[in-house]
Amino acid sequence: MLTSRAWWFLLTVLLILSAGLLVPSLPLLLVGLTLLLWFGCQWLLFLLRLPAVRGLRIEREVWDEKTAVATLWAGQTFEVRIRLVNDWLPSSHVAATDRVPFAVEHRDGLTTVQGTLSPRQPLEFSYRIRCGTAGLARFEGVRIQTADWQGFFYHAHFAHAVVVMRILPVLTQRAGQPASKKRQNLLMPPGIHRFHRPGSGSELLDLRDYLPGDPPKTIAWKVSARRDRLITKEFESEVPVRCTLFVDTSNSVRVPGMAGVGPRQINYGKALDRLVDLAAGILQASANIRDLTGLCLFDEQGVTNIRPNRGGAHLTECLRKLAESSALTLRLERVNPNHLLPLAYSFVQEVYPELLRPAVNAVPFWMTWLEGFSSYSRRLPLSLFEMLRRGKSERSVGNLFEILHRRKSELRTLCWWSSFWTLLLPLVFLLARVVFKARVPDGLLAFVLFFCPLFSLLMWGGTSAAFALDSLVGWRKRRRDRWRKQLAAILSARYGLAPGGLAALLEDDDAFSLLLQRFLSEHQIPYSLPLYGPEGRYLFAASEKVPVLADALVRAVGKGRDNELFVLLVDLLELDDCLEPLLRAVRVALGRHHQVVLICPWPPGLALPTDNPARRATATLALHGHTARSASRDPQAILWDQLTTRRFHLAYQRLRRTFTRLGVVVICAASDEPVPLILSRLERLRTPGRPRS
Amino acid sequence: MTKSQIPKPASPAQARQELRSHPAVRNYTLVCLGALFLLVVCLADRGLGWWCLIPALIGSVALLLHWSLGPPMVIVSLTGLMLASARYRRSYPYWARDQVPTLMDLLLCVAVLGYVMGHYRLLSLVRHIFPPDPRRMRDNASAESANRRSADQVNGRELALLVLALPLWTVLSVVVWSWMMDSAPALEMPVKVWRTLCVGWTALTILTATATVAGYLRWATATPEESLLYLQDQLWRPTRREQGSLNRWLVWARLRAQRKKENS
Repeated sequence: MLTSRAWWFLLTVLLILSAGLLVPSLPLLLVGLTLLLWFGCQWLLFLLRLPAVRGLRIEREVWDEKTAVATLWAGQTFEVRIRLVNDWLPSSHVAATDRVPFAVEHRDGLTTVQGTLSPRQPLEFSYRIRCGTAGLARFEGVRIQTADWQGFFYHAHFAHAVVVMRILPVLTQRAGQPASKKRQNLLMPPGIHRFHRPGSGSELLDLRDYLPGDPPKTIAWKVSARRDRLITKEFESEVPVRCTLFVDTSNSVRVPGMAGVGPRQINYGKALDRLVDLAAGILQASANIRDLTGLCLFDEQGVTNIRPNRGGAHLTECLRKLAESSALTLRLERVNPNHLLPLAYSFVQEVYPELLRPAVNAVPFWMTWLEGFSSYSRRLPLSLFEMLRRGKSERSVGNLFEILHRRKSELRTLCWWSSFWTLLLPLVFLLARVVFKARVPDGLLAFVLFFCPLFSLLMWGGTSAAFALDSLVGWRKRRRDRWRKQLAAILSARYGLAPGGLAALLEDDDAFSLLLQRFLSEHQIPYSLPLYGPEGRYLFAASEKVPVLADALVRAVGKGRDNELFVLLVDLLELDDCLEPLLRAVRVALGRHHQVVLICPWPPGLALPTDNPARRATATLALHGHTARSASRDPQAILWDQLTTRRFHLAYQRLRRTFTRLGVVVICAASDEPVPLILSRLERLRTPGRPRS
Repeated sequence: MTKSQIPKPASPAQARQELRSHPAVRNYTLVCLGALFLLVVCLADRGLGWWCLIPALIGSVALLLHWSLGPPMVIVSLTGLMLASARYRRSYPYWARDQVPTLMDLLLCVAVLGYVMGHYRLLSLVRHIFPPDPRRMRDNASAESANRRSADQVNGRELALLVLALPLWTVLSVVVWSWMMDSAPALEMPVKVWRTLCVGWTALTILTATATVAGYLRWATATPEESLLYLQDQLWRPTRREQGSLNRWLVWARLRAQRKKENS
């Protein structure tokens, strides 16, 4: 509440007042009294005005060029208008700062406004944002700082006004849609497509010789007259085509790409964004030609289905689901929560300062100095055996300090107990000798009388030294413990684990880490996790999604009719060992005369796989040039990039070979490949009757 | 507005120069200088000679360099000067003589209060009104501008109130002083000690009452989440060791089951 400026001033005023009273000096006393009275009244006035800040109302509107909107669109610019209304006394000086969501980019205009809040004069400000990729934009509220004009008293408050707005995927431009070269005379009914096989359609397919049994109305009389024999017209078939999109939302596509560097780019670099854009483009293209289109979002745990349908409401529903899935972040068990602690604590400090007040969420200083938190499940960097084996290395020393910090309670208890017994033992001997007249040798008695206090003294000395050492080197650990306790308390209260949840989260790292990830994910805070485990295994392969996808595909086949088109937007690179269930499901689909297309997201920043050796060499050279520029100081990084590129190319070739054998077309959705190109490929595939390549 | 028409943001030095020439900053500087001049006059009237310039010099330098410790330094120098002068002249104690404050005493109060108010408000305009966030200290320029009070917010009414407040608080302090004079010492205490106790206890009582009311209001307006956190904390503190032991066993069991599952 009081700033350092106020403390210094108060100290000086008390000094002058004491001097005026004790010397005594009338002018000093009067000056001291004047300053003290003024200071006290300023304080009181500030306290009286505080409810105005705590109880203010926030009215937020997001406008496009014409009107207020409830949904945002990717890649478009919007204006955020905020109005702060106060129904209480006029406030002190106030600075209000709106928290711009991570999913959008601040373009222009100030996100901060200063002034005095009064019932007659609300504070208003506006700024412009530009939406990035599809996802969710969460406006948390406005941070309010208030102070008196002298800067003596300060109060920070976060006015929560949570608004979550969906950022729908970008709309495909009409010019980008596949060109129609149709020479049709009639408009097809919704969802009906031409089939280049003889049937009962209305479009002419071919002319052939008349066969007995052909209906006379199909005879082409003019042609028959010219050729002097009966010729019959053949018409095309008209069949319905339903399209179902299977979009991968598992951990493997939520990993930030190599091109994404920095907290703001983390959302733009993941493969899921690309898949969502593609799915949205296909959905819109299908909606334009009035196809029935369904959506199936799947991850390692399960699927979310939207049955094939058409119409504006259905399209909007699908786009909303896609936007929500695009906002998903990485989720991983067994991750060290220390990676996320600084980020989460900093966020809580800014958005939930009231939950970190010592009155409600205290960590007494002696608790971190004398006790610490054991965190039973927290893994040490090295096991005790490895530590002894490696000897005096830097990691071993760090490990030792970590053990010392965590086991302070046990050390203290051990010290107490050993002191108790070492003091009790001589007493027992003395009692045995004096009261019970037992034969206790003088040498043993002298030994016990001398060594027990010495041992106790040594124990106390050692423990004190250990505590002193920890207090010298463990300030980071004490800070980490304080953050951990406060965050555990907040998470426990927030997710309904109180009252016992706090202790559980302090001991269980995995549970704490999961809740922390959930908390950050709910608030749309981008965070990064270690990609590889301690044994060097990649943690986000998400092979569990393959059976889930296979099951979903078989179900879709079971519910499908003729001529279904299944588009699998899924990352299957380097999952060769787990593909068998999916391959079985694809065979079932193909056996029922459906079509399957596999679209595989390609990691951003990597050279595209190509069949042409010349283009491949060019791409590799370009990549080498790029990596050499970006990592000119580190040859290891260049080598690492080359190996990664090679690894991905091989994985793609294996995947393509596997699916092409079945007759499934595999498309690589590179980050710079436009949606219309992929749509045109799909359009070609959509026409049944084409020869399978 | 085209790109060429968008005004470029001013450099930090340019912004600082603009801020210094802002009318609000100039007015507060003038208030401070006026108060320092009055202070010199009051001290000179006491016959302090050239020494009377010391607080004014310190105050002027603090004003020029925008020191946040300027007012405390002026007050301390004034206290030192007055105490030295009192010791030199041996003209006290006044309690026994029912001394009445003179006009110069009152002007001294006005001068000191005027300087303190003006200097701190000036600091809010040119340095910071909100305490700087240590996490954002790296970017000094933007952090300062974000924490500064906008000079455009200052209006004539604010300055007029400041000028009016100076005699008001001085008169109030005289009223309090006369109340102190009227109360007779209890328990045959020395007058000096009695007055000190009176002032100390009054200040403490007011502070305690204010803190209690503010604390009660804070609890009364607490959110359900805050109340839940408080209750959870109250339970956890005395039982943390027992809860810790229990949960350690639970985690051990979970990890063991997990290991078994992985091995099988």
